[in-house]
Amino acid sequence: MRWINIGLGLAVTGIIGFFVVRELLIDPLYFFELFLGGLTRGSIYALIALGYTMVYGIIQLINFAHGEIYMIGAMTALIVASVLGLWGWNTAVIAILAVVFAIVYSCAYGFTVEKIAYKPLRNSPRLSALISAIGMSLFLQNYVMLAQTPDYLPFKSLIPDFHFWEPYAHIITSVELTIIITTVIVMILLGILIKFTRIGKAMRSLPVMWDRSTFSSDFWQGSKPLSQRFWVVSALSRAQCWDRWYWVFPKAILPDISTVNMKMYLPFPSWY
Amino acid sequence: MLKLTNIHTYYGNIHALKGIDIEVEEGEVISLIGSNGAGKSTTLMTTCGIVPAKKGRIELNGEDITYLPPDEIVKKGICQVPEGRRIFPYLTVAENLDMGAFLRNDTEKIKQDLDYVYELFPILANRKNQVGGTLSGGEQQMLAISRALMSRPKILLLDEPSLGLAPIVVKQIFTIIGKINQESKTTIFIVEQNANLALKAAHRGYVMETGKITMTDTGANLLVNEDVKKAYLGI
Repeated sequence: MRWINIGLGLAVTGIIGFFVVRELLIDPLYFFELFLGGLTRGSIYALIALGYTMVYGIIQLINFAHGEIYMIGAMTALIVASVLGLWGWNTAVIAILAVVFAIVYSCAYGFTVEKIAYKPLRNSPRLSALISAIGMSLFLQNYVMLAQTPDYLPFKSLIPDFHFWEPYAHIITSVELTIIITTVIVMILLGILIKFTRIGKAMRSLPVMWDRSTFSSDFWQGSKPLSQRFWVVSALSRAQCWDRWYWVFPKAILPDISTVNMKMYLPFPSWY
Repeated sequence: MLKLTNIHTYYGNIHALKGIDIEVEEGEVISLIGSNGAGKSTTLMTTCGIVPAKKGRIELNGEDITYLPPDEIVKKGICQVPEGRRIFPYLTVAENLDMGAFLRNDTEKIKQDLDYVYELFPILANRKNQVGGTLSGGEQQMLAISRALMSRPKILLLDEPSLGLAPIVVKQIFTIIGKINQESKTTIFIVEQNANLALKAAHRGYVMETGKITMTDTGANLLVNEDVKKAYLGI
Protein backbone atom coordinates (compact mmCIF):
# COMPACT_ATOMS: atom_id res chain seq x y z
CA MET A 1 0.00 0.00 0.00
CA ARG A 2 2.79 2.30 0.98
CA TRP A 3 4.53 1.76 -2.33
CA ILE A 4 1.38 2.48 -4.27
CA ASN A 5 1.10 5.73 -2.38
CA ILE A 6 4.68 6.66 -3.04
CA GLY A 7 4.35 5.72 -6.69
CA LEU A 8 1.17 7.70 -7.10
CA GLY A 9 2.70 10.65 -5.33
CA LEU A 10 5.78 10.57 -7.49
CA ALA A 11 3.68 10.25 -10.62
CA VAL A 12 1.49 13.22 -9.75
CA THR A 13 4.45 15.31 -8.68
CA GLY A 14 6.28 14.27 -11.83
CA ILE A 15 3.43 15.32 -14.11
CA ILE A 16 3.04 18.63 -12.33
CA GLY A 17 6.77 19.08 -12.30
CA PHE A 18 6.91 18.43 -16.02
CA PHE A 19 4.41 21.17 -16.78
CA VAL A 20 6.05 23.54 -14.34
CA VAL A 21 9.46 23.08 -15.89
CA ARG A 22 8.04 23.30 -19.40
CA GLU A 23 6.32 26.57 -18.51
CA LEU A 24 9.52 27.83 -16.97
CA LEU A 25 11.46 27.07 -20.13
CA ILE A 26 8.90 28.50 -22.52
CA ASP A 27 8.39 31.81 -20.76
CA PRO A 28 10.35 32.39 -17.54
CA LEU A 29 8.79 35.77 -16.88
CA TYR A 30 5.24 34.45 -17.14
CA PHE A 31 6.22 31.55 -14.96
CA PHE A 32 7.49 33.80 -12.18
CA GLU A 33 4.41 35.95 -12.44
CA LEU A 34 2.24 32.89 -11.84
CA PHE A 35 4.58 31.58 -9.20
CA LEU A 36 4.51 34.79 -7.18
CA GLY A 37 0.78 35.08 -7.65
CA GLY A 38 0.47 31.59 -6.19
CA LEU A 39 2.75 32.51 -3.35
CA THR A 40 0.58 35.51 -2.58
CA ARG A 41 -2.67 33.55 -2.40
CA GLY A 42 -0.84 30.80 -0.60
CA SER A 43 0.33 33.14 2.11
CA ILE A 44 -3.22 34.31 2.71
CA TYR A 45 -4.41 30.72 2.98
CA ALA A 46 -1.48 29.94 5.22
CA LEU A 47 -2.54 32.60 7.71
CA ILE A 48 -6.09 31.32 7.72
CA ALA A 49 -4.80 27.80 8.18
CA LEU A 50 -2.65 28.91 11.10
CA GLY A 51 -5.66 30.31 12.89
CA TYR A 52 -7.63 27.20 12.08
CA THR A 53 -5.06 24.83 13.43
CA MET A 54 -4.51 26.91 16.55
CA VAL A 55 -8.14 26.61 17.46
CA TYR A 56 -8.19 22.91 16.71
CA GLY A 57 -4.98 22.34 18.64
CA ILE A 58 -6.45 23.83 21.76
CA ILE A 59 -10.07 22.87 21.99
CA GLN A 60 -10.06 19.97 19.51
CA LEU A 61 -12.95 21.58 17.75
CA ILE A 62 -13.17 22.22 14.05
CA ASN A 63 -14.12 25.85 14.02
CA PHE A 64 -16.48 25.99 11.08
CA ALA A 65 -17.05 29.67 11.63
CA HIS A 66 -13.41 30.49 10.98
CA GLY A 67 -14.01 31.37 7.34
CA GLU A 68 -16.98 33.50 8.34
CA ILE A 69 -14.88 35.51 10.74
CA TYR A 70 -12.50 36.10 7.88
CA MET A 71 -15.40 37.20 5.72
CA ILE A 72 -16.67 39.57 8.41
CA GLY A 73 -13.26 41.21 8.55
CA ALA A 74 -13.27 41.66 4.81
CA MET A 75 -16.77 43.12 4.91
CA THR A 76 -15.81 45.51 7.68
CA ALA A 77 -12.79 46.67 5.73
CA LEU A 78 -14.95 47.12 2.68
CA ILE A 79 -17.57 49.16 4.50
CA VAL A 80 -15.01 51.35 6.24
CA ALA A 81 -13.12 51.88 3.00
CA SER A 82 -16.27 52.77 1.06
CA VAL A 83 -17.55 55.23 3.65
CA LEU A 84 -14.23 56.95 4.09
CA GLY A 85 -13.79 56.92 0.32
CA LEU A 86 -17.06 58.77 -0.04
CA TRP A 87 -15.82 61.37 2.40
CA GLY A 88 -12.79 61.78 0.20
CA TRP A 89 -10.13 60.71 2.68
CA ASN A 90 -6.57 59.94 1.76
CA THR A 91 -6.11 56.38 0.45
CA ALA A 92 -3.27 55.53 2.82
CA VAL A 93 -5.29 56.64 5.84
CA ILE A 94 -8.25 54.64 4.57
CA ALA A 95 -6.09 51.55 4.17
CA ILE A 96 -4.77 51.79 7.72
CA LEU A 97 -8.17 52.52 9.26
CA ALA A 98 -9.77 49.70 7.28
CA VAL A 99 -7.19 47.27 8.66
CA VAL A 100 -7.63 48.50 12.20
CA PHE A 101 -11.40 48.25 12.01
CA ALA A 102 -11.26 44.85 10.37
CA ILE A 103 -8.99 43.54 13.12
CA VAL A 104 -11.10 44.99 15.91
CA TYR A 105 -14.34 43.72 14.42
CA SER A 106 -13.19 40.22 13.69
CA CYS A 107 -11.60 40.02 17.14
CA ALA A 108 -14.91 41.01 18.62
CA TYR A 109 -16.78 38.50 16.49
CA GLY A 110 -14.33 35.72 17.24
CA PHE A 111 -14.56 36.46 20.94
CA THR A 112 -18.35 36.60 20.89
CA VAL A 113 -18.75 33.45 18.83
CA GLU A 114 -16.60 31.61 21.34
CA LYS A 115 -18.60 32.98 24.27
CA ILE A 116 -21.98 32.19 22.74
CA ALA A 117 -21.46 29.01 20.80
CA TYR A 118 -18.41 27.18 22.14
CA LYS A 119 -17.78 28.02 25.75
CA PRO A 120 -21.09 26.74 27.12
CA LEU A 121 -20.32 23.43 25.42
CA ARG A 122 -16.79 23.08 26.70
CA ASN A 123 -17.59 20.03 28.78
CA SER A 124 -20.09 18.40 26.47
CA PRO A 125 -19.42 15.76 23.82
CA ARG A 126 -17.36 17.04 20.93
CA LEU A 127 -20.12 16.47 18.45
CA SER A 128 -22.33 19.05 20.15
CA ALA A 129 -19.68 21.72 19.88
CA LEU A 130 -19.11 20.77 16.26
CA ILE A 131 -22.77 21.21 15.43
CA SER A 132 -22.81 24.46 17.31
CA ALA A 133 -19.88 25.59 15.16
CA ILE A 134 -21.72 24.69 11.97
CA GLY A 135 -24.73 26.61 13.24
CA MET A 136 -22.58 29.64 13.93
CA SER A 137 -21.14 29.40 10.45
CA LEU A 138 -24.58 29.27 8.82
CA PHE A 139 -25.84 32.08 10.98
CA LEU A 140 -22.98 34.42 10.15
CA GLN A 141 -23.21 33.68 6.42
CA ASN A 142 -26.89 34.42 6.27
CA TYR A 143 -26.63 37.36 8.57
CA VAL A 144 -24.15 39.06 6.27
CA MET A 145 -26.13 38.09 3.17
CA LEU A 146 -29.20 39.76 4.67
CA ALA A 147 -27.45 42.72 6.23
CA GLN A 148 -25.28 43.41 3.19
CA THR A 149 -25.85 41.63 -0.05
CA PRO A 150 -25.36 38.20 -1.53
CA ASP A 151 -23.89 39.78 -4.67
CA TYR A 152 -20.33 40.44 -5.67
CA LEU A 153 -18.99 43.69 -4.34
CA PRO A 154 -16.09 45.57 -5.83
CA PHE A 155 -13.27 46.41 -3.46
CA LYS A 156 -11.18 49.26 -4.72
CA SER A 157 -7.45 48.84 -4.38
CA LEU A 158 -6.22 50.68 -1.33
CA ILE A 159 -2.57 50.11 -1.95
CA PRO A 160 -1.00 52.51 -4.39
CA ASP A 161 1.59 51.40 -6.93
CA PHE A 162 4.83 52.08 -5.16
CA HIS A 163 7.09 54.28 -7.17
CA PHE A 164 10.29 52.53 -6.22
CA TRP A 165 8.80 49.19 -7.18
CA GLU A 166 8.04 50.20 -10.73
CA PRO A 167 10.93 48.33 -12.39
CA TYR A 168 9.66 45.02 -10.99
CA ALA A 169 5.95 45.73 -11.13
CA HIS A 170 5.52 43.55 -14.18
CA ILE A 171 6.63 40.50 -12.22
CA ILE A 172 4.95 41.17 -8.91
CA THR A 173 2.61 44.03 -8.17
CA SER A 174 2.88 46.32 -5.18
CA VAL A 175 -0.25 44.74 -3.75
CA GLU A 176 1.17 41.25 -3.91
CA LEU A 177 4.42 42.48 -2.45
CA THR A 178 2.52 44.05 0.45
CA ILE A 179 0.64 40.82 1.07
CA ILE A 180 3.76 38.71 1.18
CA ILE A 181 5.62 41.12 3.44
CA THR A 182 2.65 41.46 5.78
CA THR A 183 2.32 37.70 5.97
CA VAL A 184 5.95 37.24 6.87
CA ILE A 185 5.76 39.90 9.57
CA VAL A 186 2.54 38.52 11.03
CA MET A 187 3.95 35.00 11.06
CA ILE A 188 7.11 36.09 12.83
CA LEU A 189 5.09 38.00 15.40
CA LEU A 190 2.83 35.02 15.91
CA GLY A 191 5.87 32.80 16.35
CA ILE A 192 7.22 35.11 19.02
CA LEU A 193 3.84 35.25 20.73
CA ILE A 194 3.53 31.47 20.84
CA LYS A 195 7.09 30.79 21.81
CA PHE A 196 7.90 33.40 24.40
CA THR A 197 4.87 35.04 25.94
CA ARG A 198 2.85 33.70 28.80
CA ILE A 199 -0.30 33.51 26.75
CA GLY A 200 1.64 31.57 24.15
CA LYS A 201 2.93 29.09 26.68
CA ALA A 202 -0.53 28.70 28.15
CA MET A 203 -1.84 27.98 24.67
CA ARG A 204 0.75 25.33 24.07
CA SER A 205 0.05 23.73 27.41
CA LEU A 206 -3.69 23.63 26.93
CA PRO A 207 -4.18 20.46 24.86
CA VAL A 208 -2.94 18.48 27.82
CA MET A 209 -5.27 20.25 30.16
CA TRP A 210 -8.13 19.18 28.07
CA ASP A 211 -9.01 16.46 30.50
CA ARG A 212 -11.07 17.57 33.40
CA SER A 213 -8.70 16.92 36.22
CA THR A 214 -5.65 18.73 34.94
CA PHE A 215 -7.81 21.54 33.90
CA SER A 216 -8.18 22.37 37.39
CA SER A 217 -4.70 21.96 38.64
CA ASP A 218 -2.88 24.79 40.27
CA PHE A 219 -2.76 27.51 37.71
CA TRP A 220 -5.83 26.89 35.65
CA GLN A 221 -7.75 30.06 35.44
CA GLY A 222 -11.17 29.86 33.96
CA SER A 223 -11.01 29.81 30.22
CA LYS A 224 -8.99 32.93 29.78
CA PRO A 225 -6.20 31.50 27.65
CA LEU A 226 -8.81 29.93 25.43
CA SER A 227 -10.68 33.14 24.88
CA GLN A 228 -7.44 34.96 24.39
CA ARG A 229 -6.47 32.56 21.71
CA PHE A 230 -9.70 33.14 19.87
CA TRP A 231 -8.87 36.76 20.01
CA VAL A 232 -5.45 36.33 18.59
CA VAL A 233 -6.65 33.95 15.95
CA SER A 234 -9.38 36.25 14.79
CA ALA A 235 -7.01 39.16 14.66
CA LEU A 236 -4.68 37.02 12.64
CA SER A 237 -7.18 35.88 10.09
CA ARG A 238 -8.07 39.48 9.80
CA ALA A 239 -4.68 40.98 9.48
CA GLN A 240 -4.78 40.40 5.78
CA CYS A 241 -8.33 40.95 4.79
CA TRP A 242 -7.59 44.39 3.47
CA ASP A 243 -5.48 43.25 0.64
CA ARG A 244 -8.34 41.38 -0.92
CA TRP A 245 -7.88 43.95 -3.48
CA TYR A 246 -10.58 43.23 -5.93
CA TRP A 247 -13.59 41.28 -4.76
CA VAL A 248 -15.20 40.20 -1.62
CA PHE A 249 -17.33 37.13 -1.95
CA PRO A 250 -19.97 37.23 0.69
CA LYS A 251 -21.97 34.95 -1.51
CA ALA A 252 -19.50 32.19 -2.04
CA ILE A 253 -18.06 32.56 1.42
CA LEU A 254 -15.61 29.85 0.73
CA PRO A 255 -18.00 26.90 1.17
CA ASP A 256 -15.51 26.39 3.84
CA ILE A 257 -11.87 26.96 4.23
CA SER A 258 -11.53 23.27 4.86
CA THR A 259 -12.37 22.57 1.24
CA VAL A 260 -9.62 24.90 0.20
CA ASN A 261 -7.21 23.02 2.40
CA MET A 262 -8.30 19.71 0.94
CA LYS A 263 -7.64 20.98 -2.52
CA MET A 264 -4.24 22.16 -1.50
CA TYR A 265 -3.34 18.72 -0.23
CA LEU A 266 -4.68 16.76 -3.16
CA PRO A 267 -1.39 16.48 -5.02
CA PHE A 268 0.21 15.14 -1.88
CA PRO A 269 -1.06 11.71 -0.89
CA SER A 270 -0.20 10.17 2.41
CA TRP A 271 3.47 9.66 1.77
CA TYR A 272 3.87 13.39 1.95
CA MET B 1 -6.26 27.79 58.64
CA LEU B 2 -8.13 25.46 56.31
CA LYS B 3 -11.33 24.07 57.69
CA LEU B 4 -13.69 21.62 56.05
CA THR B 5 -17.00 21.25 57.83
CA ASN B 6 -19.50 18.49 57.07
CA ILE B 7 -18.60 18.23 53.40
CA HIS B 8 -20.80 16.16 51.12
CA THR B 9 -19.69 15.62 47.52
CA TYR B 10 -21.35 13.65 44.78
CA TYR B 11 -20.26 12.28 41.43
CA GLY B 12 -23.64 12.12 39.76
CA ASN B 13 -25.57 9.81 42.08
CA ILE B 14 -22.54 8.48 43.85
CA HIS B 15 -22.20 9.89 47.31
CA ALA B 16 -18.41 10.16 47.47
CA LEU B 17 -17.88 12.24 50.59
CA LYS B 18 -20.35 11.70 53.40
CA GLY B 19 -19.79 14.54 55.79
CA ILE B 20 -16.08 15.18 56.14
CA ASP B 21 -14.56 17.35 58.85
CA ILE B 22 -10.92 18.29 58.52
CA GLU B 23 -9.00 21.06 60.13
CA VAL B 24 -5.51 22.12 59.09
CA GLU B 25 -3.49 24.53 61.22
CA GLU B 26 -0.89 26.86 59.82
CA GLY B 27 2.55 25.33 59.34
CA GLU B 28 1.36 21.75 59.78
CA VAL B 29 1.96 18.70 57.65
CA ILE B 30 -1.27 16.70 57.50
CA SER B 31 -1.67 13.25 56.01
CA LEU B 32 -4.90 11.78 54.81
CA ILE B 33 -4.63 8.03 54.38
CA GLY B 34 -7.10 5.42 53.29
CA SER B 35 -7.61 2.64 50.80
CA ASN B 36 -8.63 2.88 47.16
CA GLY B 37 -11.88 4.69 46.58
CA ALA B 38 -12.15 6.00 50.11
CA GLY B 39 -12.53 9.54 48.79
CA LYS B 40 -9.07 10.92 49.49
CA SER B 41 -8.56 12.49 46.10
CA THR B 42 -12.15 13.71 46.08
CA THR B 43 -11.45 15.56 49.29
CA LEU B 44 -8.65 17.43 47.53
CA MET B 45 -10.75 18.02 44.44
CA THR B 46 -13.51 19.48 46.56
CA THR B 47 -11.09 21.69 48.44
CA CYS B 48 -9.78 23.02 45.13
CA GLY B 49 -13.24 23.65 43.81
CA ILE B 50 -12.91 21.22 40.92
CA VAL B 51 -15.69 18.99 42.17
CA PRO B 52 -17.65 21.45 44.30
CA ALA B 53 -19.33 20.21 47.44
CA LYS B 54 -23.10 19.75 47.48
CA LYS B 55 -23.30 20.52 51.17
CA GLY B 56 -20.93 21.83 53.79
CA ARG B 57 -18.49 24.64 54.14
CA ILE B 58 -14.80 25.13 53.37
CA GLU B 59 -13.04 28.01 55.04
CA LEU B 60 -9.60 29.43 54.43
CA ASN B 61 -8.57 31.71 57.28
CA GLY B 62 -12.21 32.23 58.12
CA GLU B 63 -13.21 33.06 54.57
CA ASP B 64 -15.79 30.90 52.81
CA ILE B 65 -14.29 29.40 49.66
CA THR B 66 -16.69 26.48 49.15
CA TYR B 67 -18.16 27.61 45.86
CA LEU B 68 -15.34 29.67 44.40
CA PRO B 69 -14.04 28.57 41.00
CA PRO B 70 -10.66 26.79 41.06
CA ASP B 71 -8.69 29.75 39.76
CA GLU B 72 -9.98 32.00 42.53
CA ILE B 73 -9.06 29.35 45.07
CA VAL B 74 -5.54 29.16 43.67
CA LYS B 75 -5.33 32.92 43.97
CA LYS B 76 -6.31 32.65 47.62
CA GLY B 77 -3.31 30.38 48.17
CA ILE B 78 -4.40 26.76 47.83
CA CYS B 79 -2.50 24.85 45.23
CA GLN B 80 -2.75 21.22 44.24
CA VAL B 81 -0.11 18.89 42.89
CA PRO B 82 -2.39 16.61 40.92
CA GLU B 83 -2.32 12.85 41.05
CA GLY B 84 -0.09 11.40 38.35
CA ARG B 85 1.89 14.65 38.12
CA ARG B 86 0.21 16.09 35.04
CA ILE B 87 3.05 18.27 33.97
CA PHE B 88 2.86 19.78 30.50
CA PRO B 89 4.74 17.25 28.39
CA TYR B 90 5.36 19.56 25.45
CA LEU B 91 6.65 22.52 27.40
CA THR B 92 10.18 22.80 28.72
CA VAL B 93 10.88 22.68 32.43
CA ALA B 94 11.32 26.44 32.59
CA GLU B 95 8.07 26.99 30.73
CA ASN B 96 6.26 24.56 33.01
CA LEU B 97 7.45 26.55 35.99
CA ASP B 98 6.44 29.80 34.39
CA MET B 99 2.95 28.39 33.92
CA GLY B 100 2.86 27.69 37.65
CA ALA B 101 3.17 31.43 38.21
CA PHE B 102 0.44 32.16 35.68
CA LEU B 103 -1.72 34.11 38.09
CA ARG B 104 1.09 36.25 39.42
CA ASN B 105 2.51 39.46 38.06
CA ASP B 106 5.29 40.27 40.51
CA THR B 107 8.23 39.54 38.22
CA GLU B 108 10.85 40.09 40.94
CA LYS B 109 9.33 37.63 43.37
CA ILE B 110 8.69 35.09 40.65
CA LYS B 111 12.41 35.22 39.89
CA GLN B 112 13.17 34.62 43.58
CA ASP B 113 10.80 31.68 43.75
CA LEU B 114 12.33 30.25 40.62
CA ASP B 115 15.77 30.39 42.20
CA TYR B 116 14.37 28.81 45.36
CA VAL B 117 12.80 25.99 43.40
CA TYR B 118 15.99 25.35 41.45
CA GLU B 119 17.88 25.28 44.73
CA LEU B 120 15.38 22.79 46.11
CA PHE B 121 15.65 20.56 43.04
CA PRO B 122 19.03 21.20 41.40
CA ILE B 123 18.26 18.58 38.78
CA LEU B 124 15.52 20.79 37.38
CA ALA B 125 18.00 23.60 36.93
CA ASN B 126 20.16 21.28 34.85
CA ARG B 127 17.18 20.32 32.73
CA LYS B 128 15.76 23.80 32.38
CA ASN B 129 15.40 23.58 28.64
CA GLN B 130 14.43 19.95 28.42
CA VAL B 131 10.90 19.11 27.37
CA GLY B 132 8.81 18.00 30.35
CA GLY B 133 7.61 14.75 28.83
CA THR B 134 11.15 13.43 28.54
CA LEU B 135 11.86 13.65 32.27
CA SER B 136 11.86 10.57 34.47
CA GLY B 137 8.93 9.93 36.79
CA GLY B 138 10.73 11.28 39.82
CA GLU B 139 11.85 14.39 38.00
CA GLN B 140 8.33 14.93 36.76
CA GLN B 141 7.04 14.72 40.31
CA MET B 142 9.65 17.27 41.36
CA LEU B 143 8.58 19.47 38.49
CA ALA B 144 4.94 19.15 39.48
CA ILE B 145 5.73 20.15 43.05
CA SER B 146 7.90 23.03 41.85
CA ARG B 147 5.20 24.20 39.49
CA ALA B 148 2.76 24.30 42.38
CA LEU B 149 5.28 26.17 44.55
CA MET B 150 5.58 28.79 41.82
CA SER B 151 2.11 29.99 42.68
CA ARG B 152 3.31 30.74 46.24
CA PRO B 153 0.68 28.68 47.97
CA LYS B 154 -0.15 29.01 51.62
CA ILE B 155 -1.32 25.41 51.53
CA LEU B 156 0.16 22.83 49.23
CA LEU B 157 -2.10 19.89 48.46
CA LEU B 158 -0.21 16.80 47.35
CA ASP B 159 -2.15 14.00 45.73
CA GLU B 160 -0.22 10.71 45.93
CA PRO B 161 3.29 12.10 45.52
CA SER B 162 4.72 8.57 45.71
CA LEU B 163 2.63 7.19 42.86
CA GLY B 164 4.68 5.07 40.50
CA LEU B 165 8.06 6.14 41.82
CA ALA B 166 11.06 4.13 42.98
CA PRO B 167 11.32 3.86 46.81
CA ILE B 168 14.54 5.86 46.89
CA VAL B 169 12.99 8.69 44.90
CA VAL B 170 9.92 8.65 47.13
CA LYS B 171 12.16 9.06 50.16
CA GLN B 172 13.94 11.95 48.51
CA ILE B 173 10.68 13.66 47.67
CA PHE B 174 9.33 13.28 51.19
CA THR B 175 12.54 14.75 52.58
CA ILE B 176 12.09 17.76 50.38
CA ILE B 177 8.43 18.07 51.31
CA GLY B 178 9.56 18.32 54.92
CA LYS B 179 12.11 20.90 53.92
CA ILE B 180 9.51 23.00 52.11
CA ASN B 181 7.35 22.89 55.21
CA GLN B 182 10.13 24.05 57.49
CA GLU B 183 11.84 26.59 55.26
CA SER B 184 8.98 28.46 53.69
CA LYS B 185 6.40 27.67 56.40
CA THR B 186 4.09 26.24 53.79
CA THR B 187 1.28 24.18 55.21
CA ILE B 188 1.17 20.80 53.53
CA PHE B 189 -1.72 18.42 53.07
CA ILE B 190 -0.73 15.01 51.75
CA VAL B 191 -3.06 12.37 50.42
CA GLU B 192 -1.30 9.03 50.31
CA GLN B 193 -1.78 5.31 49.99
CA ASN B 194 1.67 4.73 51.36
CA ALA B 195 0.46 5.17 54.92
CA ASN B 196 3.75 4.40 56.60
CA LEU B 197 5.68 7.16 54.84
CA ALA B 198 2.89 9.67 54.97
CA LEU B 199 2.30 9.26 58.70
CA LYS B 200 6.00 9.48 59.45
CA ALA B 201 6.21 12.77 57.61
CA ALA B 202 3.07 14.24 59.13
CA HIS B 203 2.34 16.10 62.32
CA ARG B 204 -1.21 14.85 62.29
CA GLY B 205 -3.08 12.30 60.27
CA TYR B 206 -6.61 11.48 59.23
CA VAL B 207 -7.81 8.02 58.29
CA MET B 208 -10.56 7.74 55.77
CA GLU B 209 -12.93 4.92 54.87
CA THR B 210 -15.65 5.01 52.20
CA GLY B 211 -16.30 8.69 52.34
CA LYS B 212 -15.96 9.21 56.08
CA ILE B 213 -13.19 10.17 58.44
CA THR B 214 -12.85 7.28 60.86
CA MET B 215 -9.88 8.34 62.92
CA THR B 216 -7.66 11.29 63.60
CA ASP B 217 -4.60 11.64 65.77
CA THR B 218 -0.97 12.70 65.61
CA GLY B 219 1.11 10.96 62.99
CA ALA B 220 3.17 9.11 65.56
CA ASN B 221 0.13 7.84 67.42
CA LEU B 222 -1.54 6.61 64.27
CA LEU B 223 1.61 4.75 63.31
CA VAL B 224 1.36 2.61 66.44
CA ASN B 225 -2.43 2.35 66.44
CA GLU B 226 -3.49 -1.28 66.19
CA ASP B 227 -6.36 -0.75 63.74
CA VAL B 228 -4.29 1.40 61.43
CA LYS B 229 -1.47 -1.09 61.56
CA LYS B 230 -3.77 -3.89 60.60
CA ALA B 231 -5.59 -2.07 57.84
CA TYR B 232 -2.95 0.10 56.21
CA LEU B 233 0.51 -0.77 57.33
CA GLY B 234 0.28 -4.48 56.71
CA ILE B 235 1.79 -5.40 60.05
